Amino acid sequence: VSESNFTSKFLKAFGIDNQGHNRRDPLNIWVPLISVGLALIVGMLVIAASGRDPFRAYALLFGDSGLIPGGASWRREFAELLIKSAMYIATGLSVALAFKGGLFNIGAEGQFWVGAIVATFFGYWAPVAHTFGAMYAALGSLGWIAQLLHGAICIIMGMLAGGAWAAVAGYLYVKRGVNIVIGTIMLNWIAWFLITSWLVLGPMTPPSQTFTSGSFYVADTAKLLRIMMPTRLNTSILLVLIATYATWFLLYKTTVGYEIRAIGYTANIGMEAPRAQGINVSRRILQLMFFSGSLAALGGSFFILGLTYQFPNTATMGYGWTGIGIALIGQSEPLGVVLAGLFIGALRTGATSMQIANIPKTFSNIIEGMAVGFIALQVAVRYYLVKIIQRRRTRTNPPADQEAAA
Amino acid sequence: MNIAQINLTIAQMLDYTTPILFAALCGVLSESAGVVNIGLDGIMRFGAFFGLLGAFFSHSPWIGLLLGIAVGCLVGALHAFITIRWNGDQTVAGTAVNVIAVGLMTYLLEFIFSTTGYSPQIQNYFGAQAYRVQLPFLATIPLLGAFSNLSFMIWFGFICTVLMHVLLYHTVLGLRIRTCGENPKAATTLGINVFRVRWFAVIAGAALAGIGGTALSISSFSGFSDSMPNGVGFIGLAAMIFGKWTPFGALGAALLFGTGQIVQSIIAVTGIAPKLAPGLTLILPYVLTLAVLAGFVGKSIAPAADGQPYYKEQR
Repeated sequence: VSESNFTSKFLKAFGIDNQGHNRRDPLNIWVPLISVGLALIVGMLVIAASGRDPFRAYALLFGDSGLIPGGASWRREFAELLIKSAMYIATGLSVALAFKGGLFNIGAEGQFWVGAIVATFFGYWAPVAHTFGAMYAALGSLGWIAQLLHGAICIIMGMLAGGAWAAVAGYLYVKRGVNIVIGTIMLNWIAWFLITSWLVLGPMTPPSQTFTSGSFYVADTAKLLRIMMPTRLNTSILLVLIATYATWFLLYKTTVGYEIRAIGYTANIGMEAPRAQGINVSRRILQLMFFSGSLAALGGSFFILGLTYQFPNTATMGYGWTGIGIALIGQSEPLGVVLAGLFIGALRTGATSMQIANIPKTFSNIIEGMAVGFIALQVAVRYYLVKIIQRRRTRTNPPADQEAAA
Repeated sequence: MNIAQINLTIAQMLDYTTPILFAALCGVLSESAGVVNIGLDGIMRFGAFFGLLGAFFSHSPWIGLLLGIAVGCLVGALHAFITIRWNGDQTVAGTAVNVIAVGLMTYLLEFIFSTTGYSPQIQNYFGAQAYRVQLPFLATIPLLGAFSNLSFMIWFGFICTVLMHVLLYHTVLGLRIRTCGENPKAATTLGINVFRVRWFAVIAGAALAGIGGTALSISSFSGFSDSMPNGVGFIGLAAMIFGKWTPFGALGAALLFGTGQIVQSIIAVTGIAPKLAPGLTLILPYVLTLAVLAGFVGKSIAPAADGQPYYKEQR
């Protein structure tokens, strides 16, 4: 068997580096779209193979996803879609930003929960909560100022903590050479067990409660304002759009962002070029991890301040992992992340309705995983795309033309 | 604490160790050849479910084990197809396997058993008395007595560790595998087919992760639960690193981390430090692994070409 080196030849021919990145490549936008499309088709096959009606299932999935206006419950579904998407976009941005600097921050999960627990703490901690409670009472009709300030403090503290948590992995990478993927995975589990098996089982629970009750509830002033009554839609979606703009601005309009991208482009080949240009690579990587972690933590604070109002005992992992998928589907561009986040949010919202058709709501994980898998296969996707395009060209143009063009 | 209790605790510790050990061995084999398999947690989930499925319908854990191996190989082949055939990003491919495993196994659990959360319990599993390896002559000896009545899977784990050591360090194939992980270009120069060696290592490793999954569902427990493997794959990944990418190192680390998992029950039995928070014992594997990687306690270094796709004729 001769293992041909066609992939590397192919990559070279199309000016794509080892990671498959080439910003000017028009195929970039098609890869995520085709991946998601293929994933949806595979999902249909899974449903059909289990003897159920895929069309009915997808009608339920998309009908109740909040994407299509109309129907009695649309407002509620639309609100749920935006609430879920806000958290996913936050973790997606976190992973995407790190990708831009050539780092695989697989630890958005842990940073998300660190942000959540710290936001919870500043939400209920008596010195803070009492101050803002008194302020709220004193201000009367201007009480929203107290709400704004308390919410901001919780979110900012959460983001600082999440950023610091990610920066630990950055520090270990820069100073000690610990692979960032491994470092962040370990920190994920450390954060998860510290929070769910210790903090929420004792130090942060009301003494009178049983250990299954979760943490204290945050004060009313810390809760995010609702913006579309009677649904529970809150300001998180607006905040995450601001964060998206800030991320885009950081990446494409600042020196720091330029240097981060320079590091990212050369991450595979030792980052010598940015070093030669006088960029302090270690410092930028630390900063990048901090920014990345704080974005994931932003999502964690949405989870607490906008949805549960306490750290629940029933919290399950998955926001950070979903964020990886979203960053990949969104091709690590801030706008792409928003679109991918809305799509996954819609899937998750609609998946609850699929239970009517006897399909568990974790079905959306299958679609997500498949989409990520096809993106991992992007070299193959690109290869066959180019083949199809070339076949079309040879069909429409006589071969002589093509030779002349070459 | 009397001898019987100590023996029971050791046996319990070994029960926790085995799935971690198989996951770590998967990592050792795959990464020795230079392919990072972060999806081993997902492969374990596949193995755990299909292992139970086989054992449930055939009333024999052996069929379950075979099915677990088969599904492990299949998912491993998928990982190899993406990362070796098409040079896809290994971490991304592994993440995909993990996410798919979460969704697909829950789907199949509800589809096949019409239950949520837990599969039905089975009688014929490796932990059942009939399937235990009986070594009566050990029973009266202190400490060794713990080994007198163990599940087959625990012994299988030890055997696989030794076999893997022999394979990696005492055979030509093992040398080739390690060459592919350290310097694939040199391997090619020597006429080794890097792609074929990596395919083998990834699939064989994934089979081990599949076995690790069955060790959870039809050995340590007698059923599949939706939370499986509950991060055991990642503890395995940590054990692989803590064990410095060697089979016996992985065994030692798995034993240490397995003990960490039951420290809580040891504390409960002995009454030492009842106030110690469970979270603090559960983070032990991960903290130790970071410490070793960072060189605070010894130093653990990955194979040089670990995680890098291989392009022929690339300078």
